[in-house]
Amino acid sequence: MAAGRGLRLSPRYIFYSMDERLKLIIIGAIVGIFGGLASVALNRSLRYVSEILNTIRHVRYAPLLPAIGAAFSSIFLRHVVRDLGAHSVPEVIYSVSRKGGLLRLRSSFSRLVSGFLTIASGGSAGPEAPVVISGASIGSNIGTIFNLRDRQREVIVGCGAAAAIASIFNAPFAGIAFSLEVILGEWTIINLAPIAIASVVGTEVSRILQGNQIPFHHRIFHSGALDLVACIGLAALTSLGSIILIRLLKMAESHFKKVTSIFWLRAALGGLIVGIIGLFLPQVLGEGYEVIRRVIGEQYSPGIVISGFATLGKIVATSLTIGSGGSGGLFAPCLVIGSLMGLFYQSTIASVFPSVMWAGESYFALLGMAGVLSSVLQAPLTGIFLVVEITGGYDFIVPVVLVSVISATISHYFEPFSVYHQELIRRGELLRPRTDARVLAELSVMELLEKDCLLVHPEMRLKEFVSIVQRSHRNYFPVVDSKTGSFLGMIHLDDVRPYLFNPGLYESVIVGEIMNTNIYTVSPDDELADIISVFDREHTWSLPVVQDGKFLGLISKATLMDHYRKELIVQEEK
Amino acid sequence: MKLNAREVARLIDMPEETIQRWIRKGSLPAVEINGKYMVREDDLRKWADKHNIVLNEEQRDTGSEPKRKDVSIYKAMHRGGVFYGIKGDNVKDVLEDMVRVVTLPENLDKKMLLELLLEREKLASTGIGEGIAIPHPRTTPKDLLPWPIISTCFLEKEVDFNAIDGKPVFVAFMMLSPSIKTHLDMLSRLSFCLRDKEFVNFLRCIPREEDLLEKVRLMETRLKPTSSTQS
Repeated sequence: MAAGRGLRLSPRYIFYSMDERLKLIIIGAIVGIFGGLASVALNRSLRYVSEILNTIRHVRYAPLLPAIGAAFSSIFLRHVVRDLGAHSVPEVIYSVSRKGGLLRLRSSFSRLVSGFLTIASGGSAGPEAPVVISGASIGSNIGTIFNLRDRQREVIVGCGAAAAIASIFNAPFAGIAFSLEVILGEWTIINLAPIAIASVVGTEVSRILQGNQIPFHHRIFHSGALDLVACIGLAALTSLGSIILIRLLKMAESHFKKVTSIFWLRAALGGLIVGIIGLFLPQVLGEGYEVIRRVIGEQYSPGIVISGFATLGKIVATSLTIGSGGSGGLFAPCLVIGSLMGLFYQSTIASVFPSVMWAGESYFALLGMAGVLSSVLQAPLTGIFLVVEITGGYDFIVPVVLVSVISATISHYFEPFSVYHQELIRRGELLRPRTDARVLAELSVMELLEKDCLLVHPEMRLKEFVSIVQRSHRNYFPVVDSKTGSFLGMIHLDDVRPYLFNPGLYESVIVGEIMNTNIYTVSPDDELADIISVFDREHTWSLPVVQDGKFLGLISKATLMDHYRKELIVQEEK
Repeated sequence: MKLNAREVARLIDMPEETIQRWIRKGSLPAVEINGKYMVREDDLRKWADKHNIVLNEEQRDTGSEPKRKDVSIYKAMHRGGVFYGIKGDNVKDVLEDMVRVVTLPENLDKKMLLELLLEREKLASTGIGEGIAIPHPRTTPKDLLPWPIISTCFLEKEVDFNAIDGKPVFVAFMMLSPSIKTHLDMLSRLSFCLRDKEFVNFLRCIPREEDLLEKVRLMETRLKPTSSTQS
């Protein structure tokens, strides 16, 4: 290395010889700056464009806007930057779970642009997911520049995601919770430090550029014990809403695929329906921060009917926008749905129990937001912290915790996985650290291959075979053709033991007659999880590994167990 | 349906002690009935599905294989018959003539059998020494052969079989077995007889069919029953 010769004090050398944790914290801070910048950029441009567009909302062709935006957004993703799939958060999770946190550089801006097109034109989606993938991709690429190992890079990807959420909501705790709960799926000290740093740095960047504002102001509540009781009902309602949203989203996705195979037409169709809904319920359009602001500021009291319809409308519009291939996240829509739902709930109980002094619309709206977010993401801490931070008050943490936890628990019963994880779990690709699936996915057949077995040939007489058995310390003897070397079968000692001690058979029996040709073989590319199920099904301890007809070695349960344990040990963080 | 720890242990192929520990720790859902822990079958299935555990559905037999067919070489030789004066100067001709004269189950194709015999001979000679050969196919089509058959064929003149001791062969026992296990059992019984010098000399005199079979029957009574040669 160049650093070895007299360059001992070069910054590069100092950096590379630094303690791993310190290094991660420094990189986390850098990623935090970029994540913060990305979120400010998207937020600013969305606000700018929505001001312009608000002036033309009344024009007759306005419903076409979301359609055009969604079509352009999907064409941009597919053809301009060639980034497949509009889903952003699941892609980040997939990368952390299977690809060592690798993300393409272009993902750092592609979703920002496509998300901007979808949302600015009125599509019902949130800017958080684009910012998350952008921050994560920046983190991933910075990690690669600093030559980080896979596991370190995964943490830095988490930093990017945390910074994105933290800066967009001015909520550092929510960023930390989101990154650990949803993206990385584990809480360890090594994870926590850099992610926390990235989160506060990201928040600080947005505070410097946009001022330290609490996104949503509310008035002070005077809540009583009855309000707490009412919270339980709201929790049940929000989990119901979340289940409906998750199921509709899945339905929309599968139905749109059936309608047309032209992807941009699909997105445009979804956008068009959203635009038409927007004609009657303009609240459902866009990311909806303005709606939240007004609900929480109690400047918007539409009554039971309208708020109920608006809630449903927002659920449908969100499913259509995202299910049809529009670009954007579920974060903001969840908050809007939650706030409208809280409003609806408050109006309902206020009319049923008119004598009770309820805590107010904004109280229930905020709780609704926490409930829906916790349920849909299956991440109660994220929901709790986000709502507490964006309202700038810890004064009502008790009901927030109550609603978040109850709502997440109820919906867990019906939809056990977060909306982000479902697809990955279905494909078997959500591999959390130090789980069985993760360990098995990281080990490969070639690592476990045992090559020290003695090969035998079909024309060998039993006598020769017995002498080979004497020399061997194994119970399995693969039989290969002596000329072509191709794999023919195996002899397991247990199957032939009775004949080995019968010298009368030594000359008259050949290996080709006693070998078992009905043997399950595995290939070097097979997944270990599948191989384990073969072991279980065949009740065997060893399987031959064969590639292109050639015998490569044996893979045995005992070795697998040994490697499995060591793999678990090295994955432990100490 | 509720299962006790032993039934669960059988289903997931783990010791009962492990199952009880899992229930105690709460890793496996269980209900307490009269102080005993029971697992609902529904719960077990859901649990196994969630944890990717394969349930052992079919009640696996505890080692008792279906009773194997009687492997008496006397019966097999009786079925196969004894033939004299097989012609031929080399292995191929001898085998050809043998296949021609012996009586076989009618659905067994003689042409195919000859090919199988020659193929086996190509791998390694079946001449086991002392002028005796045991030609047989390496694999036998199972469903074509209900019982093992040994056809004893005395050759017209001694033929070089490329045997291990180099001695030319005067008698060939053509052996057909429905399975490799039967084959090995029959083979070990036959070679038990053939290791007896007196029996080989008896064969050299080319005995009559009745005498040969009677001799084999007597020798076989001295052998242990088949089942014990197995385990």
